This record gives sequence, C-alpha cells and structure tokens, in this order.
Amino acid sequence: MEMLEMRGIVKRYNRFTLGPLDFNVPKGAVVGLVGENGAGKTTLIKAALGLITLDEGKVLFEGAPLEDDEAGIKERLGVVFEGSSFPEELKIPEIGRLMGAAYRSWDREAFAKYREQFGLPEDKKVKELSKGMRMKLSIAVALSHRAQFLLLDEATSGLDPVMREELLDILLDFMQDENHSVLLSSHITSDLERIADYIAFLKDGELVFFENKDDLIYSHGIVRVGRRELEQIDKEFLVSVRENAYECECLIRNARQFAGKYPQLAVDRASVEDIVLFYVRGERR
Amino acid sequence: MKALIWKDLYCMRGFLKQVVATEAILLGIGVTLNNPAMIAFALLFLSLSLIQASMSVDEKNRWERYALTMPFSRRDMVASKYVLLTAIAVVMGILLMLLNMVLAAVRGEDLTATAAAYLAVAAVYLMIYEVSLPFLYKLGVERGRYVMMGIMVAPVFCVALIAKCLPPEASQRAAELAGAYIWPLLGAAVAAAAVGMYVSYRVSLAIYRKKEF
Repeated sequence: MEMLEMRGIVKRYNRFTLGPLDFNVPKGAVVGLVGENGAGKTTLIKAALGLITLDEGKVLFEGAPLEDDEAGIKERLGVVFEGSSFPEELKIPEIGRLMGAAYRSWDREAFAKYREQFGLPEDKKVKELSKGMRMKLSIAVALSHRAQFLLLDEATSGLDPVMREELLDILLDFMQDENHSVLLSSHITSDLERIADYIAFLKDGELVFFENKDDLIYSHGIVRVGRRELEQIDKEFLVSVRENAYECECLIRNARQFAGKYPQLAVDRASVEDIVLFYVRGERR
Repeated sequence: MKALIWKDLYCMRGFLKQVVATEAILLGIGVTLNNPAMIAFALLFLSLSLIQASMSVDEKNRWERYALTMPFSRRDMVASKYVLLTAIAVVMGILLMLLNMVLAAVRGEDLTATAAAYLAVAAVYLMIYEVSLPFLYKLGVERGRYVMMGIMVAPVFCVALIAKCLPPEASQRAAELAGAYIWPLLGAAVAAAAVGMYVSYRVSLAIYRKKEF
C-alpha cells in the first residue's frame, strides 16, 4: 500500500516544468528527495499537498484523492517547510493552543515533551527564535498531532549537527510504527543516506531515478581510469564521467558485474552524494 | 475554522492596542471639538482594517501555505476572514450604539440622527471591504491596498460630484427625502451590505481556489 501516490503529474510554469512523473511513498518507508536548487523538490511536495494546481495527473493518499476527505487526510499529515510559517507574534504555548483547536488528535503532552526536549522557550515569540529554533518548533508541532505521514522540505538545513542528529533519531523512532512514512527533501545527502529507504533524484523537473537506497549504493561504484582505458569500458556500465587533466572518474552501474569483467580496475564505493554529483556535473554516457 | 479565528485574534492583539490608543486620542479631540462622530468613524475604519492587517500578517509569514496543510479547506480559510469581518462589524455597531447613548444622555440630544449616521457609515465601510477583499485575495495585500484606497475614495468623489452638479434646491430636496425615509434607507443599506457580503465571499472563494502557494 502506498502512503502517497502521484501518477503522471505535470506542472508547467513559464520557464520550468515538473514532470511528467510518477512518484510514490510506500507505507513504512522513508523516501529521501534530492536535487539541486530549482530541480523541483518543493514543487513536488507542494503538488502532493494540493498547494499548487496540477496541469496533469493525480495525487492519492492511501488510495484516495485529497478532495475525498480533505480534513481527515490532512489530520494525518505533518508538514515542515524550510523556515517557519507560524505567525511571528505568537508565543510557543499559544501555538500549542492553536494547534489543539485545529487538530482533533493534538497531543498536548507530546508537544510539552518535544518543547522541553528541543529547549523551546515558553516566553518567547516566534520572531525572537533563531532559524534553528523555528525549525525545531515546526518539527515539534508536526510530531505532536499523531501524524502518520511526515513531509519535510529541507527540514534539516537550518539545524546544527547535534540537532540534525537528534532529528534523525526522532524520525527513526517515528518509523518504528510500520504504518508511518516520511518524505524528506534535503541537500544534506548524508542525512538521507542515514535514514532513507529510497532515494529519489530530481533534475530539471524530471525524476532521474527512484531507487532503494541500498540497491543504489551497492549497484553503483566509482572507477578512475585514463582516457584510453575509458574507451575500452563497455558503455552499458557507464553512467557518467568527469574528466580532469590526469584521469577520468567514472560512475558505473552494475558494480559487481563490472568488477568481474574488469578485475584489473579498482571499484570504489559511491555514496549518495557521489552519485548525485555525477548525475549533476558529470558527462552522461 | 475556530483555530483560524483564534490565530487572527492572537495576531491582532498588538494592533488592537494601537487601535484603542488611537481611539483614546480621538475621543479627547472629538470631545474638545464637540464632534463625537469623528471618533465613531475612526473607530469603524480602524477596526475593519484589522482584517487587512491580519491578511498582511498571513502573507508575511507564509501562513496560508502552512495552514492549507492543516485540516482546513480553502473554504475555511476564506470563510474565517468573512466571519471575522462580520463579527468586528457587529461588535463595533454595538459599541457605537452604546457610545451614542452615553453621549446623547450626557449632551441631552436626540439619538436618532446620530444612530442613523453611524449605521449608514458602518454599512458603507462594510461594503467597501466587501468590494476590496476579492482584490486583496487576487492581488495580495500590498497591491490590493492601492485598489482599496481607490474604492474608498471613489464613493466620496461621486457623492461630492453629484452634490456639486445638482442645483442647491435639488440637493436640499434629496437631503429632506433621505431624512424622511431614513430608516427604510438604512434597512436597504444593511440588506445591501448583507447581500454584498455573500457575493464578495463567493468571489473571494473562487479566486482563492485558484491561488497557488
């Protein structure tokens, strides 16, 4: 069962088009969404949430379109955007009261627990909080109404390493329930590498790949060769090549088969960041 | 929707303090100049502008983008502003009537003329907002504000122009007729404001449904 299903979605702007693409977030999975600035990550999340009107395609939550039960579906969503969206004049307890009036499933105790855990001061207004603190507040709210599906758009980017680590632990804890799902867009690929089950990569509005993270990492590798050796490599293995004055760095697919076919060439492990950088900057083969 | 109204009230506390302070100053000036109508009109104007202020706060904080991920529909978002506008208008109407009664008792004057004037101005202000709100939704608060100023100035300009064009006896006759039929005219104005509220809400909702965040 898919928590989120986007089928054949297309959103056209004057100078940018997202899609056509299919995109799913399975139940019980964390999907990491990566891509350059302007690749369409936020547009995709907005499309999922119905904040923009699609030109084509449809969006389903657990098999039902948002219009079928808008309040019920949104009750189960926890959303964090980059930067806070809370009114700046409000104090944190007031935000708690506001959310209590908005969500049927609002858990005051959970909010108090997260408020304490994140060190969110009771007496300060939102405008007096740092960027990191605002982000923590958004996350505390998202986690305090018993959401089943968290959508986090660049949620970790304003946080210090300690808080990022803490947030990832919280997300892992959230994922203990197999009915929960997370869609997390981030520039920080190491965060995604740590918690994501699937990695989706967007480039210029197109979904370049959507793969199981472990399959992605283990099927790819990096090989360093000279130009002559490069010519001899079977093109089927080559994904992307980056050349410098001395050598060619190649991102290859089917790393195990490649190692069997070219035992004389050393295949290094590719991280998610390496793979993304090769797709963005390398010369596609 | 209750939460959305709560949010607006929380956000407007600061602005509300400013309104009260301004009114206190105007009250002093009004009493000194023996012109209580001035307070009444300013009170109405400032109070109704709370709606515009709340929309400005929403825009600044990108609140709507977030609120639409909460269990609110676009209809809730628009309806909450109209409920608030109506509530402010009703509360201000009651306050003005109370003020009128106090001033009339102190000054020993007839209530009717000033009460009618207050109601008429309240209905006009309300109608100005009813026309303006769809523009604020369509253009955003910053650009919509200019349209709103035009909407406020236009009726005054038209009335002044008509008064200038008409011969003095016709203007006087019109004033006499208005005086004679003041309550039916007021009833019509209030009814027009109520119908206008519904039409304005439907137009705003249609605009808001197409809006992207």
